[in-house]
Amino acid sequence: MKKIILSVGLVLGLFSTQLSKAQDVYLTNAAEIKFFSKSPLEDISADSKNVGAAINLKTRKVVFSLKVTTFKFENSLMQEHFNENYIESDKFPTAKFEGTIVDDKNQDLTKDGVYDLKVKGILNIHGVEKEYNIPIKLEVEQGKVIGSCKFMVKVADHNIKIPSMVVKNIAEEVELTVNAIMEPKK
Amino acid sequence: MILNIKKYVALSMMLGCFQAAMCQDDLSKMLDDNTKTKSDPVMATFKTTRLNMGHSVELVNAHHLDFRVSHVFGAMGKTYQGTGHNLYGFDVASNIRLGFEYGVNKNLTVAVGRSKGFGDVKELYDGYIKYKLLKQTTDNKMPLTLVLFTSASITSMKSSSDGTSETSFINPIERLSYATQALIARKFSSRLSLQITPIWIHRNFVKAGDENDMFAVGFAGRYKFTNRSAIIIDYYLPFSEYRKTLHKNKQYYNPLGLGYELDTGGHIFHLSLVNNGGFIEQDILPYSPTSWSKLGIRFGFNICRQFRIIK
Repeated sequence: MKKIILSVGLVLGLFSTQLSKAQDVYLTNAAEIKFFSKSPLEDISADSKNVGAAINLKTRKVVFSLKVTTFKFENSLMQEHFNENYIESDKFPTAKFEGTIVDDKNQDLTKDGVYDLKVKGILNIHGVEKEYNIPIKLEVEQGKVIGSCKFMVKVADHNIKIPSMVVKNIAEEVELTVNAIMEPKK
Repeated sequence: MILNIKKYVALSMMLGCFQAAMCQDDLSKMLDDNTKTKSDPVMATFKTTRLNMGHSVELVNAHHLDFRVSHVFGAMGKTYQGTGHNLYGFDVASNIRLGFEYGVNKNLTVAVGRSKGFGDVKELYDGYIKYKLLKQTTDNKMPLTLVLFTSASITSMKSSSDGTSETSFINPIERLSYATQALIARKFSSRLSLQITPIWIHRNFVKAGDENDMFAVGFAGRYKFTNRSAIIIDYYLPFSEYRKTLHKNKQYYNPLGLGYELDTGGHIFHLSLVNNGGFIEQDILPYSPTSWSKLGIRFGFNICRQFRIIK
């Protein structure tokens, strides 16, 4: 009898984790990342509206990824140089971040509210991985999760070389701004 | 009984851990569709609109103006008057061209230019239209880039009084020459691009015995050895009975250029060795009197820079 109760309990327990997964996962394939480089000679900005972003509010895992060719520049020559010479998009087509939310207060993120948190994870750009600790704002409301963050990336940390001739045109540190409106996974 | 409970606990814990590990990978997997290749056009088969002598499949970027200076010196070898006294050709300006090319949109470039002229017909003003018909895509659904090109040139030279000369123009229409070509290229890898170019030259007025129409096939390639440095080669194989005869008389050698391409971020530089100093196809193909083997080669350089015109 006990065996039956235990085994039924076990199975139900497993099922319950399965059930909760669907409601805790929010994602979008149309998140936006803006990148901005400020230098004495030139300001360069580009943005991609094809970023995939996903978050699991229970496990606190965060992922965002994009094809670097989706960064659109106003200047098509800049876009060509970005892909051909700097980010080398044919060798490294994807940039990805995988991390976990760090929340000292251990709040219940599945409840509606605005949360100022940090995400700690690995960012892979140009084939080079580096750990970042990024402040992130999560707004959980009415079945949507809106995530936004802004952080600086040193291009040299990801092996992106800037030739001395254009050093005044391209900043050593670029600012990345991420905005994702995520909906529950169906 | 106790042993069994422990087994169950251990099993459920294992399964629980497995679930947690699945979570992050699941998240990534949910997004993977985003990173699969769609039909993106391949970028930068070549870095600029020219190779050593002739055109590449590249167009000028939309709303950009490309200013181009092309210069070729004299022949280096003794057979062709290259000696220490003229620094092996460096004192001689065989040909110079200044050109402006404008990207109307990403598929259409229009241009004007003026050359000194390499062949017997000098003072050449040229204008051309270049249209990208097919674009190679990253998923290989379209394996090639195809660009159509047509150019007209007119000479402002004084008409020669020598009736046998090809510059003894009577009618102004005789001053015109045309080049039409289909540039076909494929970017095989980030390093290697190859191009093949069937071309038709029509000159309204030619010397007695020469052909008004001539056809040729161009072969060209680019091998990048760093992100910003490459070797470029271009070669033309003409189909012309008149030129076959000229070749037998050591007066025509197929145009061949070998060069180094440098991308500095703002400019593209070409440093070339060519046996033919023409910068427009109507000036390259008909006249090519010096050979590589006898050091009839000339040092040439191209500099170009793109400026964005419309914000």
